[in-house]
Amino acid sequence: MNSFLYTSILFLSTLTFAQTKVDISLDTNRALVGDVIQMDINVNSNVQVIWPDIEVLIAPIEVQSFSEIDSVLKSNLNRYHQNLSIQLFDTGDFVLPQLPFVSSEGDTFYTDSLNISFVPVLLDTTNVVFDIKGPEDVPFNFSEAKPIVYGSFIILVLILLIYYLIQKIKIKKGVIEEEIAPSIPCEIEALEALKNLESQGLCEMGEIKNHYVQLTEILRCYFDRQFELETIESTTDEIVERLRTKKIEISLLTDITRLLEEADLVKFAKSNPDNFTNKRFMESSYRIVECCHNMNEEVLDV
Amino acid sequence: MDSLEIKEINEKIKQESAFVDLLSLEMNKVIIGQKYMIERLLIALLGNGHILLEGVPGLAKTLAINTLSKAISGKFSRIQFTPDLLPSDVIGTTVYNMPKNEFSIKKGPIFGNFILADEINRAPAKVQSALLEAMQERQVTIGDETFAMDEPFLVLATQNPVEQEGTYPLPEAQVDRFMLKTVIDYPKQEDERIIMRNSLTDSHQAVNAVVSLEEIMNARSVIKTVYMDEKIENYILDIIFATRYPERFGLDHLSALISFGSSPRGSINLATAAKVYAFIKRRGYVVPEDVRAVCHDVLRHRIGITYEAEAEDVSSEDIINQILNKVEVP
Repeated sequence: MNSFLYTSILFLSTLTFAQTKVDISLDTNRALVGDVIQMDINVNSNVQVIWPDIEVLIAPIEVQSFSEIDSVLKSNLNRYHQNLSIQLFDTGDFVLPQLPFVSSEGDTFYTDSLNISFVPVLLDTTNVVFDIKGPEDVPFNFSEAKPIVYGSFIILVLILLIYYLIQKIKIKKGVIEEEIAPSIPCEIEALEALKNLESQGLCEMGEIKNHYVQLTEILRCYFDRQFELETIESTTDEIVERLRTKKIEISLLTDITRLLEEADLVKFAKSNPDNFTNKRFMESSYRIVECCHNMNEEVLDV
Repeated sequence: MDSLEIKEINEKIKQESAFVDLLSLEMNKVIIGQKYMIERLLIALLGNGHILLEGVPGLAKTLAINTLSKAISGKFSRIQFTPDLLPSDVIGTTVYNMPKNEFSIKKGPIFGNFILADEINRAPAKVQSALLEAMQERQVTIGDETFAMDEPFLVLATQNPVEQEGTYPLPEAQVDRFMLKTVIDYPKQEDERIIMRNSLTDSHQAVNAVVSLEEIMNARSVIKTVYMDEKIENYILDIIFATRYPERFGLDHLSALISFGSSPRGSINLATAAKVYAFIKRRGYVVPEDVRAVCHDVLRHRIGITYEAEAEDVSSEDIINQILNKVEVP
């Protein structure tokens, strides 16, 4: 009866006090240096348990990776589980120390300590020693080369386009230059044009305005070429002002001004100069061209 | 029209334009160093147009038009444009007359010969519109009655190029109604010295009426007879068309910079202004120089520039210069 009483008391005490069980297991106790060993920790407790800092405790053995602590509550019992992958880059026998788990009631529960052997890799000395293999060649893949191929193609097309445009501009320039720079010197061209105008006898035919339009055009073209002035797009005042900068003799400049102003009167104010005046301006035009040319020659000689 | 007639016109112009010197002399008594502005005022006055002046404050814009009205013995009104101005403040309104038990018309300041619309871009669009309509139609309707404006009727509007916040910029269609847009610059140092001395010694001379309104009206009719050759007409049209289709004149690069070219009002005003300029220079015929002299003021506000032009810092002024340098002079 007494023994039954004691047994009952003992059995009840196990029910009333905290029940905590910690367990640790390895998938192997022997591994090659650097090999990974799986370590499982299982804790069953009806109270909360504080997890130790395993990484610090098991040093020098290294923790390569670890899972989250998995907890399951079943029949008022907390079941904790964690898996760790451990390894060591050293050889020898090592002792995995006891890991302390502290319950919320202040009791500490330890796991068993375990022995682990890390053995070196055995060298096969019977075989011939080979050279270290070089890196393998990567097989050709067109999708990787696509940007380079397409980029090169675009650059090539652009180069050809630029070359084509340059050639086109050169051709165009050449044409313009040919147009702008005829072989005949400007003074000869002007004198011939004046002779041609005179031979037309426009004044005698009553086409005085047309005569002065052509006369001023010849002179403006001549000034344009001789002094490189933009006289075609300039008014009489502007032409005179620009010629003044070319240091033309005052008397010659006066003649030019008089002629252009008279031409303006004919062109824009229906002025009708007499034959004598027309003849005088025609002669004056020849003289202007010759004097301007001589003056320019002198400047070039100096 | 033959050469004899032009000689007659020349003679007539010499007689009729004698007042120009008198007027300029009288204005120069008070306005120092703004010869260009005075000349443009005369062009607008004699060309029966209106003028928009752009310049920073203190450049004698108000004084110029006030002096002009005194020298011509005309009626001068000044309207200071503000954001709360109403169209009735400009043109007038009907007021209830209690003793007579009827509405009577109270005319606004626009009824004058010389109107200064100061800082026109400070008033809302409806006020600007009321003024510009009166400028164009030369008549104002208040209630049921329509009143013709006094002649000469010259509106001088001013714009301040700075302080653009809270302003109502004039739309292109409204700006087009101004014959000229003149940009005024600061006076030269020597001129400003005289202005400063005159101001310190309070030695401003009194302006006398030297020209009558009739003389102005006569001059206007003479200006209409100033001869403009077909070549000059073509030159004007070439310039105007170059603002619209620059590529036709070898100015392809301007196509991207111009959003719109000058309207037909541009060609009309350019021709009129060129004629007036010839008149001021005592000539009975127009020469290309006359067109060039007024071209910037006539076209400045009639050419719209694109965002691209703004980004490249190209102004309508630059565009006009390029056009003038490209269009062949007759």
